Amino acid sequence: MDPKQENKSIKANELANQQAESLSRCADVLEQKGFRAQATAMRQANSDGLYVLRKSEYLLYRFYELESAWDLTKEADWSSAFFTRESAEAQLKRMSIAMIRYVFYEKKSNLEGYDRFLCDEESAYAGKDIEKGLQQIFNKSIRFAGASSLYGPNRTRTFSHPLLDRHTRDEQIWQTLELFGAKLFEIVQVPIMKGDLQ
Amino acid sequence: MNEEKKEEELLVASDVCEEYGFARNAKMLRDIAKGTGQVFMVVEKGYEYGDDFYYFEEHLDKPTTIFQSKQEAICARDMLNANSIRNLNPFSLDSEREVPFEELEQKISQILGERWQMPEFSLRDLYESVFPAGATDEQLNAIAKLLNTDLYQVVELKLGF
Repeated sequence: MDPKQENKSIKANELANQQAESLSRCADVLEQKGFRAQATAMRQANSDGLYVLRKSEYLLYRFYELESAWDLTKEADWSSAFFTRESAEAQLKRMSIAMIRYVFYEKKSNLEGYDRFLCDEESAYAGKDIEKGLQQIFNKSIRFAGASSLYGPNRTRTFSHPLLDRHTRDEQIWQTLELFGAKLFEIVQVPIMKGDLQ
Repeated sequence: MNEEKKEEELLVASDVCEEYGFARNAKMLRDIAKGTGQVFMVVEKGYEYGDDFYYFEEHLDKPTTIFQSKQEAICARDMLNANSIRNLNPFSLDSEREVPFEELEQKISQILGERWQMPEFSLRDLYESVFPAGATDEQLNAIAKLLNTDLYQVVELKLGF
């Protein structure tokens, strides 16, 4: 290896090793001082990595309205990293709800778009008891006409009641997304640098 | 635990880190508590073969590693970019170049400090070296930038606990 490159590689490895060692020793001190949660999270991050949120493939390619809304928010494809899965999941939930509200209700009232999004042919609604699920979420009977009614000249509304309006609560939006298996973001675990870069 | 209590605990934990000489971790915890925490992730751009080129595909992008400092992430990115262009034929990757194809030989020769000629290759042959084995990381990085085929990028992420 060219000496210049070798120096650069050694320097990068030193920095990476310092980072790993510092996190681990720092966690030991925090544990001793009673900061157990922080110490555990720091140790886990050191061994398994951080939890990172990214746009789901579904959001990237299947639903352009949502993607353009994402662009409007000026966020990158990768948005945030967390020490614990619990925090990453909470953020994923907040972002999903905010995006649905923004795209289908605040930006322009587009309830048909919301229906289409929920009933995308690749989503996991097939085989599930949708009406029963909706009854539990909204505490009223909502008839489901099926996704096919959204297309063609005879299309009808998919649901007998709108699933989104100003009264819809955050938890109802989230449960509806879960019922239909519509994932806007996903969580990936990414290691923190340590050891050799080569 | 509510957010306020979480922040308070992080600030006290940050003081402990500071006291025991972990200045960088102390700053990291303090920044998280203030909502300004950041880490730097090296992401590899994904690509797949199309009809004639290898096309970049966003959904195939792969996160590789996270760094606490931007300087370290950039250092790693440059090494990885140099390694990739050392082993891959960047002309097989579909990229938007500002430099016309005819001028590339001259520009690349300038970077390498020796006459370089475009070798014959098929655009399908991605896994083929086209630059001299003795080229340095700096030279290869400059070529990757010229060709707009940097496979590795640094992405800034907001850090939470």
